[in-house]
Amino acid sequence: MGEFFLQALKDCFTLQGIVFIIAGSLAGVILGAIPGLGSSTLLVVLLPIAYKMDPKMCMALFISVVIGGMSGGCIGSILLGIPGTSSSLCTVWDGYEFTKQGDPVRALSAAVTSSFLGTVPSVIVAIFACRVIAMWAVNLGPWEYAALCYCAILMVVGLSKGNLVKGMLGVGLAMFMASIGTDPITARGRFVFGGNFSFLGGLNLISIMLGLFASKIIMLEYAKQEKADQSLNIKVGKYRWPGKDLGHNLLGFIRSWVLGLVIGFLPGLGGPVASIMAYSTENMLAKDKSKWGKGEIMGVISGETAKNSAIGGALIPLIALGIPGDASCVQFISALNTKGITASPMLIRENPGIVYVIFTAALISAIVIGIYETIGMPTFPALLKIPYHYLYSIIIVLALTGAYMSTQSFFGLFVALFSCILGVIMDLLGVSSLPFLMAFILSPQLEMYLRRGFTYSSTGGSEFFTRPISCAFIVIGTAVLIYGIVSPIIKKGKKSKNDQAREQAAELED
Amino acid sequence: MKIKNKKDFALGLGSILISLWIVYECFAMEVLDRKGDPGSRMFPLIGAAIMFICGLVVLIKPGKESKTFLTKEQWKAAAVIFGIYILAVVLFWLVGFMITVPIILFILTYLMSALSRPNDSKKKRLIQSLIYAVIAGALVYVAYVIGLQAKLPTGLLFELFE
Repeated sequence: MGEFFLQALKDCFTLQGIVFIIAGSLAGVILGAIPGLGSSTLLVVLLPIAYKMDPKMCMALFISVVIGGMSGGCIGSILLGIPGTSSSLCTVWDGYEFTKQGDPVRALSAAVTSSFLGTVPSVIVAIFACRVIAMWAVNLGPWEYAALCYCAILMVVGLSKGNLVKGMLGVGLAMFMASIGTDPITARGRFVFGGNFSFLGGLNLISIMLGLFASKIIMLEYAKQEKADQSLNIKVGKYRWPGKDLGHNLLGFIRSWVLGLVIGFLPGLGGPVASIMAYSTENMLAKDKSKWGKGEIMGVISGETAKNSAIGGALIPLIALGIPGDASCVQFISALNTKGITASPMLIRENPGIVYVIFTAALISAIVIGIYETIGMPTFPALLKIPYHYLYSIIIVLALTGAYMSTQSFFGLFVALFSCILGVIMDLLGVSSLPFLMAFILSPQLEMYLRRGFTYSSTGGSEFFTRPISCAFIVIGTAVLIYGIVSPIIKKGKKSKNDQAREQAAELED
Repeated sequence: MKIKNKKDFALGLGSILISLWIVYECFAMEVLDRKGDPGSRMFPLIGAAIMFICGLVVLIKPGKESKTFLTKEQWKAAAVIFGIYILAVVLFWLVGFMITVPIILFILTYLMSALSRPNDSKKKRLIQSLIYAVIAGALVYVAYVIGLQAKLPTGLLFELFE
């Protein structure tokens, strides 16, 4: 292993390697910061270039873009209140509150530091634990994956700031919307509205995100005219070491990191689920929940740590098993295929040079991004210093262009417009968009694993409950939902008891 | 019958109707019979069941009437922006990416500058928006078409004359 690592270091520290890593990292940060774009868009565009590149350099560039994109996602979330990437969704809730309160540096510093501290150890773990964890993962079946998706969705519903019933209603709608298109098992069209070919590919997640966030938020912000004063009052200084914030939340940080690593490792989940799960876990464990959603620093740290530690986690199944941990890993596999390399358990044995370049470039990229984000923090809010009419107009244009690019057709644009209207209706009727979006992201996996679970089962699906890991996820998810239903009733009961006691005391006094 | 919360009533009723439509569509769907597989209907039916139950709960037990979401004027402003989105899609289709981007940039910038720069004269805002639309439009074009080599719509009109 040592000699491969040394060789990878030599490869990465060539002029070409350095240029690719720095350019990829910075491009990733920029694209990650711009809402709706994300590193995946750049990776897709870079795929054709992969044919002409050296495979090692190609992988170094790709991993740098992924790490940059993941880290840069927090910038849009904190400064604009619009998630740069789907992984930065929950950073908006508390991160943007700091910007509203006039202290975005605290949130940005915590996010940047958490990103770095989330990425580097997770990649180191990936280097050493690749073989060992891959052996464990072989034992996981569709039952465990389905149960995990179920648990993740219910945890988000339990976390839903608004009405729990309305949160579940959003989940139901998302499950239906995710069913539109080709059936993942039989490849037959469902809800394709008279055999319309555009619907066969399903509703694209990027278009939904662009509509539900960028287009809707800017439309409503313009309508409410809230942005005008805020953008003028924001002051952002230099990076501040968030020692106090991290120190006070050390246990939560470690929990989020572990959770991110484990979820990143599980195929198809990746950063978005990792960050939301970490956020919801910390929210649930918090003694004082009153600040959550109003500017709680742990809300920023948990999500940012988890989504970045998910990078290392996602590299494990990708390299050890050839299974994509998240959407970016799919691009990795495609890039490897362009070089005639198949991502499989044989990858480490047959192409150790490429594998160790991925790990080494990931570490160097994390350091490059860490340096840029700490020194260059005052450059982040340059976006907000642009008068908002400039910023919003360009965001809309990029969002619409991104919606087209996501499907390479006008269907992506129509989906974005539909999502924009849907988002407004959901806001109007008090349905939180997060459980909806979470369920929409996870539904394809949930359905596939659920049906595989039944198909592979010899006992009519009892494995969902008899396999310990699967059963544990189901119990946790259900318990969170029940807690969400029961706790307001208990609180209400306590409140009415207290009121009665107060009334009795008042009567006695009289 | 007096409706306690109009929004919740609409949400509940809408959810029930959508869920019933999903159920209808599911049973009209052709399903391949595979051993052990619960079939294509299962997942959307679960979604429909959740929507139906939650819709019913919202309908039976509505919450308190929430405050006004948007005023009449705000709805009008939102409709204007959404109209521009639709215009952008139509222009994308008709004249392509290269021409649409500066046009939409100009319209949006000029419209929004009326709020963020209320003290500037119309003429000043117009010139600034125009300059911005041209420069930003060119940058977007360079970044996407030249830099990222993205395939973007060239426009129906140009395709006809080619």
